[in-house]
Order: sequence, then C-alpha cells, then structure tokens
Amino acid sequence: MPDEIEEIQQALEKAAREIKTPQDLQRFKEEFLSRKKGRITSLFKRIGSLPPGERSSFGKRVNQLRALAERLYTEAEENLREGRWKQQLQRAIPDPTLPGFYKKIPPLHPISEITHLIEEIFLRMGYDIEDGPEVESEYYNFDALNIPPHHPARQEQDTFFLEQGLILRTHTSPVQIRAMRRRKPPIRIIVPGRVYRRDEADPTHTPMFYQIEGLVVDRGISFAHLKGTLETFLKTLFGEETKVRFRPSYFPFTEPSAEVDISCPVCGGTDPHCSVCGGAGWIEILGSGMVHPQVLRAGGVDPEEYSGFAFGLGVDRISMLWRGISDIRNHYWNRLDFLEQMK
Amino acid sequence: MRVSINWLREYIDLRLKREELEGLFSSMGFPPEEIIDWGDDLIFDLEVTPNRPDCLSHYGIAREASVFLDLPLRKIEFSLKESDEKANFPIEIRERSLCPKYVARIVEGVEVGPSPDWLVEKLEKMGLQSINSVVDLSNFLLYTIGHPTHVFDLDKLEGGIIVRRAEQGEKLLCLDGEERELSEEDLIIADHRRPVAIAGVIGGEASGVDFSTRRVLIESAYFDPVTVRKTSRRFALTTDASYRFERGADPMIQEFAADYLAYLISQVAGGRVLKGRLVAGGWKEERKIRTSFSFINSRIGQEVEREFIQKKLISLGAVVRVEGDTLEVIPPSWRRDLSIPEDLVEEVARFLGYGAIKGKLPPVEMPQGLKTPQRDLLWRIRNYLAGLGYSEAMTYIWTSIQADEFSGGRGVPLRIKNPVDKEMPLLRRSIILTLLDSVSLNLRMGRKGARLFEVGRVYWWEGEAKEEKRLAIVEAGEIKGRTWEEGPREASYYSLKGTVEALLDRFSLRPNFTLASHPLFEDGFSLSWEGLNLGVVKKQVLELYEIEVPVFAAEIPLSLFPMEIRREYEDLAKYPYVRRDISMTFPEQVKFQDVERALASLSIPILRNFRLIDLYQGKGIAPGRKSMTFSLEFRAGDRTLTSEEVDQQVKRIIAALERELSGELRK
Repeated sequence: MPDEIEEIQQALEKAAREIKTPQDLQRFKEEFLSRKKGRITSLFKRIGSLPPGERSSFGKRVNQLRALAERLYTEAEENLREGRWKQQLQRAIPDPTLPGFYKKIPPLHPISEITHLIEEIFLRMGYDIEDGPEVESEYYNFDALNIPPHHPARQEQDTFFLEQGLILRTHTSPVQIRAMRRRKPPIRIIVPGRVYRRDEADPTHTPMFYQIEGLVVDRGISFAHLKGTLETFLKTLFGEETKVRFRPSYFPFTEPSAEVDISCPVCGGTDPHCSVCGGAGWIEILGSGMVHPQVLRAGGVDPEEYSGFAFGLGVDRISMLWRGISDIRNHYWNRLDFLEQMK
Repeated sequence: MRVSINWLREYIDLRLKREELEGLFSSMGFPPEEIIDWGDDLIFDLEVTPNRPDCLSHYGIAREASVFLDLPLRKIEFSLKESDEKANFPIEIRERSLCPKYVARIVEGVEVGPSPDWLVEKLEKMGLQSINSVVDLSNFLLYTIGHPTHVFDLDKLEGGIIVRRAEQGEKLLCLDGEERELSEEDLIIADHRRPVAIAGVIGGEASGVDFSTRRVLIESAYFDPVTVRKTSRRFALTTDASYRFERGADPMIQEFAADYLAYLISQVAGGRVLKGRLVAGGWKEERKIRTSFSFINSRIGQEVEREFIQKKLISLGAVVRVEGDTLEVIPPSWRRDLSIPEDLVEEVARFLGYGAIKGKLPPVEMPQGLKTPQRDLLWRIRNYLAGLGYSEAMTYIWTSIQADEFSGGRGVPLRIKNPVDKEMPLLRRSIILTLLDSVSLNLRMGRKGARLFEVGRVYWWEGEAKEEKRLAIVEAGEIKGRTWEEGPREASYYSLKGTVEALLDRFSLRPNFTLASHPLFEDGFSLSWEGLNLGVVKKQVLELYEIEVPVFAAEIPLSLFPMEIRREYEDLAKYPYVRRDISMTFPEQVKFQDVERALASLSIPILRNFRLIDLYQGKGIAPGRKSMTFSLEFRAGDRTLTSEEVDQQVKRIIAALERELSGELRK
C-alpha cells in the first residue's frame, strides 16, 4: 500500500514543521514513533499480511520512513533546545547594538607620557636617570654654571626668590653639577623635572614647566658626538624623515653652544601658513653644547682629561607639537575635558 | 639689533638674496627675529647673543660676514683736520678699575642744527628719532662701529671732567627727563661742581648738546661691564649705551671713535676740531690663548684642515703663531668672548658650519641606567591609579597663606619673595591643596565631579630647605558608572579609602590605620598610617576653593612604597577552602577595626581570608546596635580541613567577639 506510506510521510513532514513546543515534540513522537500505537509501527505490523513478493520492498520503504521520522524528531528536539537558548539570549541581549559596559581608564598626563617616551629612548642609548632638588641655591643654579652675578645672561627677573635665601631652579642644569660631584666619569644621564620662571601665564608661557636635561662626560667626547646623539634622539622621537639643524648660539655653561631645530613635524616646511612653524619650516627644539671647562671644574671634573656635552629640552613644547596643543596652560589647568583626550 | 642691508653694503660687497641673508645670519648665530621691507632696503632685526657685543653694529656684522663669506671688508677711512689750537680740559679718573680709560676730543664753533636727510633716515631705520645733528651723529657712530660715545656742551661743564663714584644723595636730571637719585654704587661723570652723566648709561639734561651749543666735548671711554649693569638694573633703565657697555666694549677703540666722531661733527655741523686728544688712563691687552690643532680637532670630532683654521682665525682679526701642532692666538681687542681654547673651537666650528660636522654616537663602553627603580615604581603607581579611574594632574606648587594653615605640613613654609600671584606666595606643604584648585576649576567648568591624582613634591623649611615626593589622590562630586548598566554614583569616603587600600595592596602593603586628627580633614573622619593621611576634607578648606561638594582625599609619601618588586611566592593551594559566613550584631560604637584586631589577636593560622560582606541597621536589629556579616575562609596548606575543625575555630571567633565587643550571633 504505497499510497499510505506517502500519506504518512507527508503528514510526518508537516507535523515536524509544526513542532514549536516540547508538547508538540511529544505528540509527534507518540503519533509516529510510539512502539505501541505509532503510525509507523502499525505499518510494520502489516508486513506479515502482504504477499511475499511485496514484503521486501514494502519493509524497505517503511524502514526509510522510520529513519526519516527519527531524523526529523532529533532535529526538532535540537531546534527546540536551541530555541530556548535563543530566548534566553534574546532576553539578555535585546539589542546587540546597545553600547557595551565599560568604564574608561583615563590616560596619563601628556607630560608624563612624553617624558616616559623620551626616557625610554635615552635608556636604550645607555643613559641613567638623575634627579635633583627644585628648591636650589643661586650657586648651583647660576654661579657653578659659569653665570656669575651681573652676567647679562643671569635672568634674575625670571627667577623666583625665596625668603629663606634660596630660589626655585630656573632650569634642570644645576643637576649637572650635582651629578658630576656624585658620580665619576663616564657620566651619561638625563634629568627630567619641573622648573620655574617668573612669567605671567599666557598661551606660550607658564611659570612652571618641564625640562629634560642631558649630560655626557667622558674622555674624548666631541661636538660630533653631541650632534650624533641629538640627531639620533630627535629622529627616533619625531620620525626618521625629520631633518635636524644645528645653529651657533650662546649659553654661558657651554662652549661651543648650539641651538637645535627640527623640520616642522606638521607641514615639513611645505605650508607657508602652517600654524605650528609659521611657515619657517623649522622649529626650535632644544639648546645644547660642549660643557664649559668652568662647569666641569665646578663639578669636580678635570677639563684637561675629560670633555662632555649637555642639552636641555622643554617637554611642554614637545607635548604641544606632538598633539597640536595651542595653549601651554592646558598642561596645568588639569581640566578633565583636556586630560581625557590625551590617549 | 637692527641691521640695514644697504648700510652693511658700505663695508662689504654683499650680493645675497633675502633667504640667503637669513641663512647667513642664522649660521653666524644671530637668527633674525623680524625682517622689515624698507623701500629699496631690507632691515633685519637680529637676535645677537650676549657674548657678542662686537656684532652690535653694522661694521661689526660686516666684519663677521666677511670672515664667513671670505669677502674683503672695507675699512672706515677719513682724514681728520685739526686746528692749531690745542685741546685743553682737565680729565681725572678716580676709579681706575671701573673706568680704565677715558678719551675726549673738543670741537669748537659748531652750528648745531637739524640733521641731514641721510642721517635722519639711517636713524629712522634703527628706530631712533632725530634730535639734532651732533647727538644724531653720536648715535650714528654707535650703530656704525658699536661704540657708545657721549657729547657734552663744553660751555655747560665747569672746571674739568672727574670720573668717580656718586655720593649718597646726589641727584641727576637725566636726558629722558627723569631725575635719579644716585648712590655710592654708581659710577658717574662729574664736572668740578656736580654729576653730569651716569657713566655708560645716560647723560644729564643740563650738560646736553642742543641747538645753542657752540663747543662740544666728545667722551669715548671704557666702563666696567658689571658696574654699568648694576646701575642700569637698579634704575631699570637699559639704553643703547648700557646694553653695549654691560656686554663689554672694545677697550682699544676709544681713540678711533673719538676721532671719527670729531670728523663727522666737523663735516656735518662745521666747527674746528681742536688739536690732540685728551686721554686719561689706558689699556694693555694681555690676552693670549695657547692651544693646538689636535685639541680643536678632538673637540670638534673630526679632522679640520690646518690652513682653514689658521686662515679663519687670522681673518677674524687674531694674531696667530704656529709652531708644529701648537697654536698661539692673540684675539682681536673687540672679541672679548675669546679667552680659552674652547672659544676657538667654537669659532672654527661656526666657520666650518655646524651642518658640516658629521654626527656620530659616543662609544658606550659601560651602559648606565640598567635599573631605574624609582621611575618604574612611579610608572606602576600612575597606571594603577588610572586603571581605577583617576586622571593624572600636574599643578602649580604655590598656595595661599590661608590654605597653608590647613596643610598639616612640617617645619615652616618656604615663601616666594616675588610671586606671580601675590595671593599665592607659599610653596605647598600638601599636594591636596593645589589639587583642590583643579577640582574647583573642573566643577566651575561644568563637570559634575573629578577624580584626580598627582605625583609631585612638597616643600618646607626646617633649618634647611626640604623636599619630599608624595602622591595625592582626590575625589569629589559625581563618579561616572559603567555606561548605562549602572548610573553615576557620588564620590565617597569609602571609595577613596578603597582606592588607597587597593593601591597599597598592589605593593603588598598592609596598612594599620589609626584614627587621626589632621588639620586638612574633618575631626573623626580621618585616618593615618606611616605618614599616609586620608579623610574628608574640611569644609572651611573647601570654602577657600569655592567647592560646594564634599571632597575626599589622601596623601602618601612615596617612600612608603617599596622600590624593589616583591619576590615572594606561595605555591598554589592543593586543598580546598572552607567558607563560613557569620552574622553578628554589635553596639553601634564598635568599629570594624576592633573586630579585625580581635580576630588578629586570636592568631588562627588556617583563617586565610576575612571580609565584611554586609552592614545593616534598622528593622529587626535592636536600637543602638548594628549587624555585620562576615565571610571567613579557612584553608590549610597540608591537609583538607574537617568540618569539626573549622566549626571549632568559628566558635572561638564568635566567643571572642561576644566577650570582647559585646557581639551577639544573629539567629
């Protein structure tokens, strides 16, 4: 009775499609697969009543039908289980596009980040990190650095004087003297730290800012070493394509002295209206020179035997260049709207 | 220093374009600050470094350029006609060390009038206004050769010139119309009756040259740089003359300057130049630098040809003697900055061009900075606090006197004599105080709250200046929650304290806080431990900063943190934890710390963790009492604990809390 088999098969497929609940699944099982009164079981029971010639093909077809029913059952069962899980997910994730849960970790202060970056470069070149007091004597800040009283370069109007006879250091250079007295050559150090100048705060000045001082003292240190070191440093920091220019200058504590410019990191010298370099193509980035023999002597180092170079750079300026910050005061207002941008 | 290119061309054959000129001045070390187009002329405003007073004139710049460009320099030439009548006016120097040399000349029968156009124009380019022909010529001379001279009306001088220190109380009405009271520190020019000029700074009104002047006395002297600078600073008066004298004048140029000015006056204003110079004092040049070619090469770091070095030193005006490798150099009198071998290194490097020196790295035979524990510690602290949601701040280090009273700092505050803000003269003795400024600013700018930290220093005076590095943390106002999952919450004492505890735990520090009284914090709401202070910032302090929400803050000396990374390690547990929760009520005044201490005194080695998981007061708890629920975790390193063993310890704990803190187990 082939037609009945087909009929059951159609009913079976339809019923399988309509399974939506565990109850439907149970009903499906009872209707088709139950060993007692399932419709497929009843087909098997009928095999004996068929003519012998038809039994084999009939039995084969019923077996196929049964396999189909079992497969549909398993699939439905799996779909149901899957469906429950999906429902749970649906409840937990009503809208996959809703924002994720997180709390932003604020970035560190830009001065911290840049200082860290610069320290890293010099540490890799074999430098150590030094430190010194911010409340200094005039001796360490000026005299020992070959800036005697009444020297035109002694910027006293820029100095904060303390009633206790000391001053706030105007640069990190006094640490050169302290380091030379504490260490023996070879000396290779950088000194990051705060310095103070009596400037009214405006977009390009603050009465407190950050410097990094560098000092190398050894036998046979030359101006070429100064150049090579600063070129390497600046190209590492600003990129290999950066051009570095050394210009003669004057600092009482170095001889010869050099001002160092880099090609504008924003326009590379191509924009005559560049807001960073003003069209000049060059940015003044640091002051440097060969340590003056008077300064070596003040540090207890024999200038006949040793020579050295030193440099000083303003971290704030680098941070401003780095990010395009136009107002230096942002560094010390600590507005969260500013700090949170410093990723 | 303003430089007119046309004026320069009177001394040197400059054929450079604007950009080339810019490059030339830069490589000389005097980058232009401004370039002004002036008809057919260009004016460069050069930043001449303080060591190069010899370049504060057109002739000086031309001289420098001639060395750079290998171009001939046209000398200033003139022929001075003197009358037969001999110049005569007594000149006396009483302070030889402050004025080693004083030269004068007299021109009689001048007719002082307005200056000719060429002179007016030249001065205009320098930014000067024309006064009269004789005064203008003195200024013209200054911008030509860089040497400041002064012109007196000889008929207004009495007796003779005396170079002396001023007497206390002497006064001088100066050419700028201001009367200045002189002191013994000031070097002055006087006649036999009164002061007539402040040496090297400014002349007196009464003896100045005007349209009625017939006899002119030209002063051309050398004044000590330090004295001129001191006086100029005391009067806060910088003139073209003082600017040059305090940087160091050429001590050999006085005669030439006096002659040239006399010549110019006689040409422009007529009159007779009386015969002879009036000279007091003198100058002997004794500078000599001994160095060697090999020294110069080793400092530059590459081989520079001997001929080049020799040629450049000679062309800058030095006398050079060579013997083998040795160089003996007598620098020209106008180069006061050349005195040691290193100065010659710079000259050679400059003329070579800094760009022509090939950079190389110094050999690193012994790397330094292999360990940087302090830097690493600070970096870990900073990142940990950022991870807890605090932004890093950097604040100015000054505070007001009122704020400092709350600092709780040691010693006395260091005070700035010349603060930028008169209200903020003290160096901070607490970082919290300066952070409050930033909190206040953020609240005023519309932020609802702020969580900030700063790593910095505090400063005080205790017989000597002291500095201590500290970490300060503050929080105030609203704290953002995790986006929409949880709403914002308020800053709180426990949140701040938790931050401190978490940070200390990160460094394996176990604080043993005690209730403390600190001027910065509200009494009874402050703890301290080993120099660490935390608490609720006093309302009076917040009022100083106009902050209207509570602020919670902590300040920690950095010395509290270990520099070395901890090296301890405990093998992972082989045996499971057994956890018991107990809930007990206590009288209200019992503190959590009392419970902690009671537990510690039992010293139960298998009690590995002890946490408060609930605090409750209200319905179901007797008035005057509170309920605390603790979670206790037990574990042994060598065996699995039995229930009986754990229960026995829990009983001990309950008994101790009942006995010592009047605890009652909740049923």
